[in-house]
Amino acid sequence: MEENITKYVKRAKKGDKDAFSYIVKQNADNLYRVAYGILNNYDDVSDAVSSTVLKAYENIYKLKSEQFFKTWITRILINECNMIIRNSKKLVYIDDYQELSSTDSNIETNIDVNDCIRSLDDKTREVTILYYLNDLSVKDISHILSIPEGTVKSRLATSRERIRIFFERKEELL
Amino acid sequence: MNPDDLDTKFRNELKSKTEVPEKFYKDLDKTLSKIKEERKMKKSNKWITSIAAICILALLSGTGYAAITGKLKIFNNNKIDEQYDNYAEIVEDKFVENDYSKITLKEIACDDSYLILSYIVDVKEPGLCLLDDIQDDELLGFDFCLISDVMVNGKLCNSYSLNKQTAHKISNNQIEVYCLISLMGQELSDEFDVSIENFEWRSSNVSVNYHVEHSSKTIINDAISLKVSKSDAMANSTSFVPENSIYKYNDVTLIVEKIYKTPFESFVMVELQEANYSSDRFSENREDAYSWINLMILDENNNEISANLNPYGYVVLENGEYLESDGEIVDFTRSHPSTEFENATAVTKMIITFEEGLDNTKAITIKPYYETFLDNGAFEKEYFDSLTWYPVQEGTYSAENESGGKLEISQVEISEDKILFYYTKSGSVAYLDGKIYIRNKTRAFNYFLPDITNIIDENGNHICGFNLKDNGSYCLSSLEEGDTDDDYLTYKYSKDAFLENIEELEFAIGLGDEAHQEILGEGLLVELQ
Repeated sequence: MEENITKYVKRAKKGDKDAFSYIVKQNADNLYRVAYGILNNYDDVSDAVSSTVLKAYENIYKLKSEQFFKTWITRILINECNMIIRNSKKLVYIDDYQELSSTDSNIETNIDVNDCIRSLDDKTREVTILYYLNDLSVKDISHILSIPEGTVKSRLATSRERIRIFFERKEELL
Repeated sequence: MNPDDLDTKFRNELKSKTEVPEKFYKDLDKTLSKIKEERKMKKSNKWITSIAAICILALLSGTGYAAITGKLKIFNNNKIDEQYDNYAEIVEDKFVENDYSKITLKEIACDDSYLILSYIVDVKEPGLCLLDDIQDDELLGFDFCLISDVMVNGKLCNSYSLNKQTAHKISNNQIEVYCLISLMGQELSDEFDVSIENFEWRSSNVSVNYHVEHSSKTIINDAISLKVSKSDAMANSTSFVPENSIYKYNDVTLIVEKIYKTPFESFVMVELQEANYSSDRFSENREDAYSWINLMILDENNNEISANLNPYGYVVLENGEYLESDGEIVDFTRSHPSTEFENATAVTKMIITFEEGLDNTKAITIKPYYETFLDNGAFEKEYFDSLTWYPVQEGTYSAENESGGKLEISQVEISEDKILFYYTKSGSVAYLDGKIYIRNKTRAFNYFLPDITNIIDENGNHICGFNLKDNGSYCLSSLEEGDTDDDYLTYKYSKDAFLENIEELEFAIGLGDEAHQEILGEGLLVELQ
């Protein structure tokens, strides 16, 4: 039934609002997970997804390849999330995170996979989410972000290093 | 840990930590309705004397509206609006409150299809969430949302596509809210437990930041619990398994599990199986033709009925195991299996509801068909070139497809800033098909879809139309005057440029690309009476 999406994306591009609603709803879980992975706060997630949906509606006519709707709207969402983070300065870099965790016992006991995502810089986070949450290949990510595959791989290597630290710290705490 | 193991472990942990809360779906619905409402509001402002008047007349001639009868329309669903009073029971002394607001459950109605909860929300703090700034629109209701978790026998009722809500403003600090909760397919006993938890109310008229700032006032972490009986409604309900309930055509098996006719809704539970299913069907990146199974529902006169299919499914692999779902019914359109498989069976469960109900229908035919989508722009041009294009002039027009589906235009209303078409549809015309298009014949390949839709007048005519001077609408067109037809792309054009001269315009009736539908046999005939 996945193929249906492409058909409805075509219709949405031509102004069919029901079709647009349909394809957004089909991607609802994905949108939530991506936004939550970055923002970890329901109200911010709701805000980001709402802005994303309105922007997607305004710009869907620009989408050239219907089969990339999901990745296209994910890209818009990531930009919205990054903007919210920058505006609210909620970003916690890994160095700060490690510093905090050495002094704050609550953080030590509440180590969370989403903290790991939020500790990455914008560009690495974008690639990490597309790879781990959207299950996209390196090739597809390269295509979506218009960056070389080598750059995708190097950002994934950076994020794997953080992931390794995350699991090591988690095991230490157990 | 090697990179693959690390990836898998991280991916699984990331996904398992991110459950989607029900209120997210409700908030998303609000955002999507904003897109639709924006259009409707714009329309009613511009054409108070024509379209809005037609709609209000249609409402007044129906079950009655608040201004005349004192009774609000609940869901713009005739059956529910007519039957609600017959089954609504007053609930006493069930409310939740904090220092800023009080939410009272005042009535409850129930049958096998829906649980309808009617609340009054009293806002104690004047001006909280700026309710006084919001007007209750006669057609659209009130821009207000009551979020809660409704549990039936301890299970969350979260049918995303079937649950609905409407709200109406009583005063600047009092709102009436109706929540429609789907019980379809649950097979509940006559009496069951309902618990409503985690209340939050909000108006989408104010910013999210405002809501965040005031969330401590609008969230009430309390619950309402009560026993609900549907026995009154059951006396007027029927449900049955039809004698003729299985239909097979090559790899496709259609099973009608049960048909329900209740006071609030008629619905059909269906299972659709497709054998020889492979992971290739999930792929987003295929470049060849797509095809998938859809259902067409016809009445005893072979007219297609507008039906809403609410599909949820799973995939059974060749070895009998379920694909990444443990046998739970999931919406597998949202999942992307990481394993490759062949010879599996895709099972789709559907709850089919009908826009006009089934009370006056003696039999339905459920006809599965493969719909093929060619991801090829040339096909689209070929399709539009094949339509019959007429000059925009008053008159009557009609078109018929190969399956006997017909669209008949009884009136064309032309004015300086818009063109309206009054039409009826009959026979086999797919739900989202049957549209009227307009184009500028002096330009390279182009066409517009109607931007005025979903209006029915008091005579049952559908109305659609085109604003002629409304920037920001979409059309499919070549890039520029000199481009060849093969170069066309979808662009956001100013209509002023394309539609300013009515003499240059022509319209066509499109009944869908039936050439790309493969009907799978005669379908299953189901007697309803």
